[in-house]
Amino acid sequence: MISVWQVLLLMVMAPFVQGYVQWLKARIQGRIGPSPLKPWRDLRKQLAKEVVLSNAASWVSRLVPYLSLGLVLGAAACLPVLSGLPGPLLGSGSIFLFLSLLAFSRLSLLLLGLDSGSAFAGMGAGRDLLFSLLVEPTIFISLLAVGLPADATAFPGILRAAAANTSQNPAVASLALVAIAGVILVETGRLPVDNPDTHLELTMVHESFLLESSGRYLALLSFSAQLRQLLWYTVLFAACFPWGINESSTGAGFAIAILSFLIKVLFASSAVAVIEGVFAKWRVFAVPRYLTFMLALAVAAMLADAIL
Amino acid sequence: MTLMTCGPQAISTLCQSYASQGFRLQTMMATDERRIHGHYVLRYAFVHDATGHSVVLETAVPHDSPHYTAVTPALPAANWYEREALDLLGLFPDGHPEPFPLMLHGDLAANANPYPLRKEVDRAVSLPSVSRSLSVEAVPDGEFEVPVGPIHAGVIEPGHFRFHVRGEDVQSLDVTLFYTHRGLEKGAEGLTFAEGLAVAEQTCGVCSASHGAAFAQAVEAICDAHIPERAMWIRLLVLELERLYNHIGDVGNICAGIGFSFGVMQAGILKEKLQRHNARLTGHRFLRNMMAIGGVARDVPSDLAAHTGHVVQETMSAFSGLVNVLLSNEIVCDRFRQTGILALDVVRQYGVVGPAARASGYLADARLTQPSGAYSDKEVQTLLHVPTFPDGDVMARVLQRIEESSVSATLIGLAVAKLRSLPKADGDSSLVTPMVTPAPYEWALGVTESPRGENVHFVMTGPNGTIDRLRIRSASYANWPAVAKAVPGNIIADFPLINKSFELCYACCDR
Repeated sequence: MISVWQVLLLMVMAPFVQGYVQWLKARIQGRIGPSPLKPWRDLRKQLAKEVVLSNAASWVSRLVPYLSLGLVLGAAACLPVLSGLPGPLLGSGSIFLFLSLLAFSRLSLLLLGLDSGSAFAGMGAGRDLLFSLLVEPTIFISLLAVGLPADATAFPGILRAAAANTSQNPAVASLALVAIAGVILVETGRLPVDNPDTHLELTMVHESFLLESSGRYLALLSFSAQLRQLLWYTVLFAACFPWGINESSTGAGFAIAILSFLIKVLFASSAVAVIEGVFAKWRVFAVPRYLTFMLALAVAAMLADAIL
Repeated sequence: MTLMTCGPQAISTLCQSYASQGFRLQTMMATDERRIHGHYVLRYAFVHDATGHSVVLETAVPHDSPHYTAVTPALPAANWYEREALDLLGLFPDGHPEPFPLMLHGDLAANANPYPLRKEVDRAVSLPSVSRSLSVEAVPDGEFEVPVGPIHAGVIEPGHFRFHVRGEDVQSLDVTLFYTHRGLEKGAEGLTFAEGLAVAEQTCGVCSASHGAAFAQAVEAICDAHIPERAMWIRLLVLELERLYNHIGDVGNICAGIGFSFGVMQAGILKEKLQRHNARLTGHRFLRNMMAIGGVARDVPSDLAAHTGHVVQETMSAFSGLVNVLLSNEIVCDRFRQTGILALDVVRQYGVVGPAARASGYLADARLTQPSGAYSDKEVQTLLHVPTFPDGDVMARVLQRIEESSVSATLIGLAVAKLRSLPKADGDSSLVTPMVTPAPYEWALGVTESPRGENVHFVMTGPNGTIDRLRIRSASYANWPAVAKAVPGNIIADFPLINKSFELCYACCDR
């Protein structure tokens, strides 16, 4: 049951997180900025609009918006947000299941982009695949590095291992933190890798898949992108900041868990907004170099486990 | 200015001989003079940028067989002009390497072109509608064609770009413009000069003052009129204010090409401050309605002039802070350097003008070569240290604008001092020289240096002080073909940045 509540909490928060980042970014740039509620309002607006599909579109374009959201919701059910107890999580919170669900959702989005027949989506797909070659192993190795001392390949175990790491093995904790946080910027389409509010079709990575989408399909796709972003934050919290998560199942414990989760999300999204405020976008070919570095950090975290 | 005449078959050779002596093709005017002389006339205007010497080569094209030898094979800079003369007047350039329509799209060009600039075509008659199919030609294995526009994801003017890419690398780029052509030149025929000035100012949103001044200068040259000294300095002040707000705004826009929001916003704030001051000074944020035939429409009193000096000084010190941040940012410098290199050869071949030419090491500036009004003043010429940069990349074009901004600020300072020391405006006579009605079918060129480069207005008078033909050659018209040459060899994701570094105007072509 707790798993369902956790997913609901993530669903409610995801658009706010996106809105908050946009609002804070605007404040940093000296603008008043849109209300943090805007993503919710956008979703409401888009749900009410008709769907326009490209002539080249097949059933893929009609299926993927639902499929992608379903896969991301499945991934959300693998994550410990409030409760660290292993029981009710989907697949006991296995990181293999979690990462495959997200990888499959990525694949479905790539197909959606190609299905629209737009040249931009093809370019974006090429870039995204290039990046994901380095993104997926980095996340994977970082999570394993955190869980390895406790022989954990599922999130509840990783949580406990992470709690121990921060005190006993700070090298692993900090290397994994940098690697995961670095990769999250790529996965959530943030500067300096991708520009989330660009109108420049030619430089897009993630946004380019959604260019041809409209109406409720666009709403579903944007919502799953927002949800995915919050999932990655949650992964970071689980692996590096496991504080405040409820280990028993008392009411007070949940209150603390919710509060600490909110505070952590606030910090993470503020950091993203600050990074977006001060960085320019890298050349496309500078990104693999950066990702290789992150991968090296993840491997170093793994080695630190073995040595220390 | 030298004027030479030759036959329609000899024009190519003659143009080539001037081009080989280092003359740059400034503009080409095609006019329908059948009612006066019984034939069409082509005028190729050249200028020598080192000496300022200018020459106009004129040729008559017979009305019954409107053919002439194309200049383009020898001088690529003539490409667009000759295709435009074909589209709008039906003059056929024999031997042109790309004899397809430039301004008219789709079926209209093939079948039903009434040649709208011919005098017998009524300007009230609208052109037949145009349909256009976007077919994709076969491309070699491993290459893709990426069509972009004419409707873009952002609120920008229409232009259709076709990239041939191999992976991320751009092999070639085709640009199709002229989607929203307004027929301003046809519309100006028969108007009075004052009405024509309003049309000229509407050519472009952000270069209104320099377009207006170029038109006014052409008319004043025909009438042989000299504008009052106070008006001269006010014109210089307004033209340099236009350059300043454009250059600062452009530096910010270039930052938008790499998602550097700090630069975009800070430059945006400075540009806004300048534009608010523009409104206070001239009544218009884009400096419109300030020029008048024979002078200026509005005085700049000394207190307002002094305030302008303060605003510009404040802006420049804030701008230098922004420049420091920009040029010390590693990512920004990495993105700007070696991106979108415009070779000096291309500049020479295509007659590129303005900051784009100067950032490739070619010094062309109408303020130096063909100065008019206060620009011919000795003090102005000594202060006018127009910089050049040899690299021709995005960085060079950014640095070019930064350096030119401070030159403009210096000139504004001088104009402010002059306006404060000159006697106060005493009625209209100290602002506008009265004009005599010029004889019909006289023509002249008016040249100004706009923020994007040289604007050339050709005005031919009609009967009773009206316009018979107006030909506007804006800097963007001269530079667009060069953009397509600067892109191949770069990755497609850098195109927005390269395009923004030229910051060309679509409306300037859709005149």
